[in-house]
Amino acid sequence: MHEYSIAAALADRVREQIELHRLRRVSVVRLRIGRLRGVVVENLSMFLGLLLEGTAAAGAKLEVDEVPIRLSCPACGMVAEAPEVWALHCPRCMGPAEIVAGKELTFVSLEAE
Amino acid sequence: MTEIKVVENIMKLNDSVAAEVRALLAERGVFAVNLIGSPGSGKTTLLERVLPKLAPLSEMLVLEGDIATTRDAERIAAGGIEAVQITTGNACHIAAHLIKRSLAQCDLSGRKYLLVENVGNLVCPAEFDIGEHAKIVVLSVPEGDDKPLKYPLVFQTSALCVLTKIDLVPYTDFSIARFKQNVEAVHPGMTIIQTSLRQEGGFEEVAGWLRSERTRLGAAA
Repeated sequence: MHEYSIAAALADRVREQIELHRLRRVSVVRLRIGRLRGVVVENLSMFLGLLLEGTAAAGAKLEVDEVPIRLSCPACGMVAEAPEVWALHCPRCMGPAEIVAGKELTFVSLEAE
Repeated sequence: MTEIKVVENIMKLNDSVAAEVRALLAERGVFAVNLIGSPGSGKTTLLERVLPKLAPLSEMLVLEGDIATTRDAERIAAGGIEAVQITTGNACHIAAHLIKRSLAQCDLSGRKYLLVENVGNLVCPAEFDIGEHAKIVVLSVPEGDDKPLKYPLVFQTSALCVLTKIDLVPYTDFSIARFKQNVEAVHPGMTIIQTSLRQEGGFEEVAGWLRSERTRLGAAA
């Protein structure tokens, strides 16, 4: 359900870019989203489509690069990918690990003319 | 077709309003917490029981987030604590601008604690920074001991977990040991405080946690 709020914020960012670069047509909106964000891309895409109707970005394709969760262990130095969103301890020494990637919610680029 | 590089945080507007709220509160010496939990987990009851033990009533302010009704704000106000209801319409969470707007109507002088009760939901509220200094996740025994694994984000981003209704453990399959193990998997080292309204337990401990966090975070100006 909160995908709507993210889509609304993203639609504002896209409109800013359209105005800034005086774009006539946007064909692709590219994002980077960390797995920990739990964003349902299909929902985000649907809301974004509705919100961008009537703009230069109407019908633009949403491309999402999903970022895996990466952990770094301050105790033993292990760097690893978390296999599941709920397995966030160090897989080697089982101590608390720091999350170094997986929380991204980034508007990366546009394909436009 | 050309590629236009942007590289910015999608939620930058919400996050900048949240940062503004956090700075305002810190400047006024107010420690703010964002209470997150399912509908019926006991968030309002927790506030009703903890706040009288926390500080003089005039030092606290409560913002109650709900989709509809002012019931929760009325419950808190009945205890002599100033409470403002935020109705989100149909939104599943509180966003930072709603806090900013509500605070503009409140007198912050002499306040030391701001308690924001978010909309009952374990999913969306965890995603939105509202300018709090700490999030607290509230889970009740009937919801089940597997919830940290099913809703990891709220457990990861919260500083404290309050487990409510522990007097119901004998009537359910809930295992406190398994719950602790599941919390540990998603948030190693997380503090858990167990409470029970019927057995009158744990509320003093939650008040103590809030006092020490306020001091630790230096909001105690």
